Formats: sequence, C-alpha cells, structure tokens
Amino acid sequence: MRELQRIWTAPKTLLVLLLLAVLNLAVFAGFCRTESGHYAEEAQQRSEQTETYLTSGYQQYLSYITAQSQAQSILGALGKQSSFITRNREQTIADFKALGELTLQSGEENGIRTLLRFTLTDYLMLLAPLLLVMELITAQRSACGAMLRCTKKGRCQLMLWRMLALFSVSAVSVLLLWGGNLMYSSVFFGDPVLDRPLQSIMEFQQCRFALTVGEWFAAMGICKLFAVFCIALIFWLVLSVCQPILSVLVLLLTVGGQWLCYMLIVPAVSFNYPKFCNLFALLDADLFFTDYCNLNWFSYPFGMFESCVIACAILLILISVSCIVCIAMLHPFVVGGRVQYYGEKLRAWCSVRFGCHSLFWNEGKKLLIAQRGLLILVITAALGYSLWQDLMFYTATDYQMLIIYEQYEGEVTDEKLTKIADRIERLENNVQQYKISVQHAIDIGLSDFAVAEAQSKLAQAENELHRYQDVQAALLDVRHYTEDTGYDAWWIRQNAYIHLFSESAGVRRCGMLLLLCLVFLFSGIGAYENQYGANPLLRSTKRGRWGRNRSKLLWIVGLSSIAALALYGIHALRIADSVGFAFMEAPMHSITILRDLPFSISLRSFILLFMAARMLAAVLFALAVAWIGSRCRNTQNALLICLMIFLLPAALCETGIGILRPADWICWLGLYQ
Amino acid sequence: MPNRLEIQNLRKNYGSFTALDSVSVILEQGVTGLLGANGAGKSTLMKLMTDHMKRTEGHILYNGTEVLEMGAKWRSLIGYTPQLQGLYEDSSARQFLYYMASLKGLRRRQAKEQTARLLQLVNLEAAAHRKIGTFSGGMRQRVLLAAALLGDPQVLILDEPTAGLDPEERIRLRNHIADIARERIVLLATHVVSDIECVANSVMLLKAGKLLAHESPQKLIASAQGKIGMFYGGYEEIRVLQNQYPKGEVKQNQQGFALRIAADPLPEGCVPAQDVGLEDVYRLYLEGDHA
Ligand SMILES: Nc1ncnc2c1ncn2[C@@H]1O[C@H](COP(=O)(O)OP(=O)(O)OP(=O)(O)O)[C@@H](O)[C@H]1O
Ligand SMILES: [Mg+2]
Repeated sequence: MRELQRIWTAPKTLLVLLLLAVLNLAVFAGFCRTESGHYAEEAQQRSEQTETYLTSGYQQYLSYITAQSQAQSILGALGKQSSFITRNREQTIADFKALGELTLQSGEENGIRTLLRFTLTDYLMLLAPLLLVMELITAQRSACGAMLRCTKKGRCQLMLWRMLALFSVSAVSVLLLWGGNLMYSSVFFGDPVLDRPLQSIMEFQQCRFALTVGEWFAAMGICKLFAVFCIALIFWLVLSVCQPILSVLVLLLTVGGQWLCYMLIVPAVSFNYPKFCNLFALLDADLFFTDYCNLNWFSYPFGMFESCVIACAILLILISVSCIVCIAMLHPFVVGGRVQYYGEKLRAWCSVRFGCHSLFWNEGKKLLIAQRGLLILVITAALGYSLWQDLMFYTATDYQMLIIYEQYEGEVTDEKLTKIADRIERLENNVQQYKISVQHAIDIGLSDFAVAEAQSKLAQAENELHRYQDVQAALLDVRHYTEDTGYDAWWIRQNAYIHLFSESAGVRRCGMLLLLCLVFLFSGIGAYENQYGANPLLRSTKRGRWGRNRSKLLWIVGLSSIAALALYGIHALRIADSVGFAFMEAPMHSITILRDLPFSISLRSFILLFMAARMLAAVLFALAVAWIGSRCRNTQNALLICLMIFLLPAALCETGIGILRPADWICWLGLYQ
Repeated sequence: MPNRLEIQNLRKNYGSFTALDSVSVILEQGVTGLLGANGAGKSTLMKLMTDHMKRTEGHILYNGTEVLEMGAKWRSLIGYTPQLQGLYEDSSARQFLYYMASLKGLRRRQAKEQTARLLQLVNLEAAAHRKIGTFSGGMRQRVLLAAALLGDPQVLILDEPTAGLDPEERIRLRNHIADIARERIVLLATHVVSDIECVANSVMLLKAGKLLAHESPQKLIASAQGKIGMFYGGYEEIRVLQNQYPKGEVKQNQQGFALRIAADPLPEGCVPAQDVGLEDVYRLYLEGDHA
C-alpha cells in the first residue's frame, strides 16, 4: 500500500503523466486541424456515400456476405475443399447473421475517423509506464533496494504492490491519452453520438461485434491498457534479468520483432498468426473492429480478436509469473554474462584504440553517447523525414494569371504601367462591344442559344478586365508605396514568401519538433555532472572551467543551429518544391507582410537573414535550456523541468488556449511576430 | 625551485556558521597530514585550495603568488581527489582517465602513456574497461587517485584518498604518495592516523575550524609524552573511571582490563605510557570534538 502511495504521490509520476497528456493533446490537435482540411475537401462526396450506406448499403453488404459465403460453401461441399475454408464460411454467415437487426444512425463521424488514423497516442501511452519501470529497476538495484529485500514483506508482497502500481499508472496513462483524444475530437468535430451502433460509421462496415460507439471506445481502451501493461512488464523482466547488452538484444527481438511483425505482415497471407497474436495488434486494436478475419487454428476458424486476446492473456500470465519469480524471489538472477563479456572485450579494445580525444570531442562523446544525444538526433531526423513527406503546399494554377505574371511581374516600370493601361482600355472597349452585341442579339430576337453565347463572351471579357484592373491596382499600390516611403518594391507573386514568413500548422510542427529536440538534447548537459557530483573534481583541473564550458558551448551552438537549419530548411525546401520562389532578387518590401520593416535588402538576403535569425533563436533557446538544466540535481529532473517550462505552454497553445500566447515558444523560435 | 604554499588567515563561513576560522599555515615539500574529527573543516579547507568555493577571507599564495590570480595556471599545478566520489558511473575507468587528461590539457600521447602507467600503479589494469558504476568503493577511490596523479601535479590535495582501501592497497598507495612527495607538496586528509604517522613530515591538527597545531609528528608525540597513561584494574573500576574519562580506550588482555587515558594531568594510579603514538595525540587534542 505504501509503495502505491509513494509512487502516486511522487511529483515525478504526476508530472510525467501531465506532460504526456498535454503533448499528446497538442499533437492530436494539430492532426485534427490538418485532417479537417481533408475532410472538408471530400465532404460532399462522403455525405452522399454515407447517405446510401446508411439507408441501404450496409444491408446490401450483409446480404452480399451471406450470399457469397453460402454460394461458396455449396461449391466447397461439392469440390471437397479443405475443411477450414468450409467451416470459415459457416462461421462468417453465423457471425454476420445477428447484425441484420441493427438500426444504423447517422452522426458526426470525422472525430472517430481521426481517432482511427492517429497512432502516435499508442506510443506515447507507453512512455509513462516505461519510465516507472526504469525507476523501479533503479530502486531495485540501489542500496535501499537491497535493504528492503531483507525485510519480511520486501519480496513478493512488495513486487505485487509494485505491479499494481505499474498497472494503475498504465491505466491512468491510457485514460488520459486515449480519453483525452476522444474529448478533444468531440469538442473539435462535434458529438460522435456514443450510443449508436458502431456499424453506423462506414469504416466499421466489416465489424462483426454488435457494439455501440461508446462501447467500442471503451473496448479499445481496455485492449490498449493490457497491451501497455504487458509491454511494460516485458521491459521490466528483461531489463532486470539480463545483462545490459543482452537485454538490448532481447528487447529488440521480442518487442521490436513483434512490432515489425505487426507492421509488415499483411492480414491476407496464410501464416498471419504473428500479426494478430501480437501485443502491438492489441495496442493498436483498430484492425479488430475495422476488418474481418478468422485464423486457422487446427483447421477450425477462430476470430482474430479472440485469438489475440487469448495469446496475450497467456503471455501476460507467463510474464507476470516470471517477473515475480525472477525479480522478487530469485534476484539477483542475471543472465547474459557471456554476451556482456564479449561486449566489454570489444569496448575495451575500442577504448584503448580510439578512446583518447581532445576535450572538445570528449564533451561531444559525453553529450552524444553517454547522454544519448545521437539517439535523439536520429529520432529527430526520422520525424523530420516524416514531416518532409507530410508538408504540402497547394497552389491553384490559373493559366490566364500565369500569362499576366509573365508580362508584369518584377519591377514596376512606367512602361509596364502604360502597357497595362492600354490593355485595360482595349478590354473596356471589348466589354463595351460585347455589351452592345448582347443588347443587339436580344433586340433582334436571336435564339436563346445565341444570346447565351454572347452573354458568356461578355462575362469572359468582363472577367479578364477585372483581372487586369486588379493587377493594375496592385501595381499602382506598389508604386505608391515606393513613392510614399522611399523603399523600393516590386510586384511579384507572394504566395511562397507568405508561406515561408507567416505562421501555419506546418511550420508550427517544425518548431515543435525543434523545441523537443533541443530540450531532450541539452537539458542534461549540465545536470549530468551534478548527478554524479563530479563538479568539484572537474573544476580543480586546468581546463575544467572555461575550457569545459567552451567545448559545451560549441556543441550547443553547433548542434542547435544545424537542427534549426535542417528543420526549418525542410519547410522552406518544401515550399520551394511545390510553390517555388520567384524573383529572389526583388527587394523585400515587395512582400506586403514585410512592409513594416524599417530596412531594405533583397528578398534573397532577407531569407538568409531570416534563417540566420531562426538559427540564432534556436541557439538562444538551447542555451536557456542548458542553463536551466544545469541548475537541476539530475538529468531526469532537468528534462522534466525544461519540458514544463518550454513544452507545456507551447503545447497548450497548440490546443487553442489563447492566454498563453506570450509563452508560446514555438512562435518565438519561428519568429512570426 | 622549491615549492611553497602559504595559507594566510583563511576563513570560510557557511551563512552564519564558521567552518574554517583564520587558518594560517605554510606547506612545504613532503606530505602534510591533516587530522580532524568529522566536520572539523578538512574538506572545506581543501575545496578552498582548489578554488571550488569562494573563501570568506584570507589568501593562499603559491611561491608568493595568489592562487586566485594564477587561475588556470594554478589548477594545472594541482591534483585533487574529492572526498565524495564524483565519477561518471557509466564511463569506464580508462575513458574517465582520458577525459580527465583532456581536462588537464595533456596531449594525446602523454594521456595514453600516463593513463596506462597510472592504471598499473593503482592496480586497475584488469578492470580498466569496466564501467565505474560496477566498481567497489575502494576501486573508485583508486580511480580518483589515478585521476589526481595525471599530469604530474606539483601540489596534491588528497581528501581521504585511502578511505575504503584494503590494507595492502592502502600501504602500497601510501608508499607511492610518500615517494612522489619528495619534490611536491602533498596535503593528505585522513582518519587513518597510522597512514600519516608513517609518511607525513608534518601534521596539521584541525579542531572545529581552527588550526590547533602544525608540527612534525615527532614533536607532537613528544608534547603528548606524560599525558598518556595506562590504568590496570578490574572491570568495575574501569567502568567507574571510564565515566570520568570518556575518551579512554578500553583494552583487554590475559591479565585483565586496561584503560588507556589521555589527560593532563593523568589521574592517580595511572602508569605513564611509553609507546605514545600519533593516535594518542589525536585522542588528546581532537577527540570529543564532533560537529
Ligand atoms: N555546503 C555547505 N553548506 C553548509 N555547511 C557546510 C557545507 N559544507 C560543509 N559544511 C559544514 O562545514 C563543516 C566542515 O565540513 P567539512 O566537510 O569541511 O568537514 P570535514 O572535516 O571534511 O569532515 P569529514 O571528516 O566528515 O569529511 C561541517 O560542520 C559541515 O556541516
Ligand atoms: Mg571531509
């Protein structure tokens, strides 16, 4: 009981849960916004589809399934097909028979569709329980752990309490994150009507369970909870029982292997057991409700969901028992000595051969290897790559406009102004002509068709006239601006530049990623030394003060500016790819949003300056993170505190809380003000 | 050039608490032992010498120059083992020494060569590749000592370097310290009085932040002559006497009980001891002074 209380009253547990919940919500909110754009595009089509689906489509589907299965089973009986296939058809008919009575009901479904598509939550849910496991393992290994083990209740009973604590943390983590998503999506998209049958939503057409939407949501949550708990237990067992190197290998094989099986195996292959009897299938759980598939167990069909649940339940029991036996009763029970031995041999050889570096490289090694900086950079790069694929900028191509741009884009010269004035005059004449001919056509009583043709010609001409008038106005506006302020300005397409300089969901994602990367990378840089109490010793050496700090500073400046350049570069390159920057040599005041700035350089230089300023902002942030982190007792605290200070306000802003705007660090990083 | 470290009127306050009170002393080549009870201010003195903390008052001069002004130059002259082992648990002993070598500004070749030599000296060659986190207390202490000796420092400031070492290692390293102390200044704080007795040229006695004495061990022992006595008697008598002299040490042998008393003057019935050692000096001056 004490143990449970200790874990739940620890500020760290609560803080981690809070941070994860907010982070999850922030990312989910961004995702909802982009998705809602897609939904809006296909809204018309979708609503028609839903309409037919609800009125007749689903019933048709059911009768189709039954008919098809029946037909095939007759064929099968004739052709002596393998018994599994025959039985599977009978099973299919039985499964779908009961669903005929469902009364489908329409309602807001985009929220649920977004929930289905958003998978990051599943992985975020794992983090809090895994952190607790790490903490428990540290406690096990500490002197205090040894002391506890000597007491009467310090073994099995303590272990059981700890497992209960782990379960409760997993439960709260799932509730906060998965429940938070539902809440947010219902606020954002509207009430999903929880008490209608799940099959009312087209995505769940193949679902064979008669559930309401609310029940489905709860069932998903329970699946996720068990998967999270089970994965956390596996980590606990492996990390406490195996030597470090072996434990990495074992985890890669078991957890990573399952993940790969789940991701790579397609449901249709005959050997699909590893895909379904898999913890990640249970963690994701989408498939069980959106697909229909029976597994072949000794030529009897058995639902994929049931198979998965039974397999995972057996696994859970096995792991729990092994946890109790190996960690509580047999501890210290450690395997993998041999692997560790060879690993250490290799490391010894490497450290003799390559271990000796200058102070700068030593600090880098500490940052990148001991503090896992390299891993963070790799993860950032991977996320950056997915960002690269996600970022899209659309421009409507209007060929007539393109022709106009061709002629008038660039410096606003007198020649161009007179040319456009001429052009407009001619167009006005045209319009006048067409007006007369329409009038004429009506007057002389031509056929409706002829009148309509004349009218459409008139409309076209008017349209063109308006276009040119708009362009002329824009040209004159630029000219006046130049005359009023004395700053040079051209008339150019501003689209790409506006994307680049103004705030958008895409650039916010870059900023969020950069912020996370900086916090994870640099929060521990000073705390690491505090953690081991190494400062008195290090500071007593010749280069232990300024020299050491200078090396750290160089790493911070270098890495943070590279990260900023890369992440914002992704954004800029994506814009260049899809929209394209034209007239980079134009003066910067050509872009309307930049007109308030009191200096004038070319756009190219301004972009360079802007990027440099973003890099500088990133460096300043990194320094702030490092400085705050170095005030903390250990790296974990430093990370948590920096996340609190830097991530929390930004993430809350992302979910739409306006008061925190001044503390929206992403804005500051991206320099939109 | 002879080494000479002069500490003048050194004082350190932690808030209103004075941990070190006007300590003045001159350290010359050889080992200077630093004795004092827990909390007497030994570590504080050493941290002031390494300029890890700001002093409240006073000066520390090395060959006539204030060490604060020497800055990095001073720090390149010293080797320091802190009392609380501040080691990176997840690096190996060799990596840690390489790191320290880079901090001390050694060149790569020197670093490699010295690291190999020092690992041999502290008898950690076989474990050099293991993570420090897996080391025993004594092994960590030896890593620290090796780190202090890197870069051939002129001044060694050793805060309980032999704590937790087994007798064999302790004697080996003590001898080594005595060996290198011939041309260097070594300040050695320890609770193992016998270590100092064997190697120290002089001893500082620190009591509640004040310097009681700075003398050679022989002089200190001589000054304690006649103030150390043995009282032989039965168990009951010893119990009574022990209440009066709580600093006494009870010994047991075939004849019965004996109480070794450090007092001035000695109580009646005491036989002055002939075998006075530094341990007795410690008992006479410093015992009963726990912070
Ligand atoms: N950072 C600090 N803040 C406040 N008081 C301190 C601090 N460091 C030390 N002290 C106090 O200063 C006094 C001297 O401490 P110091 O560590 O120098 O003792 P010591 O002689 O090294 O003792 P030990 O033999 O236990 O190592 C003690 O009373 C201690 O409580
Ligand atoms: Mg001390």
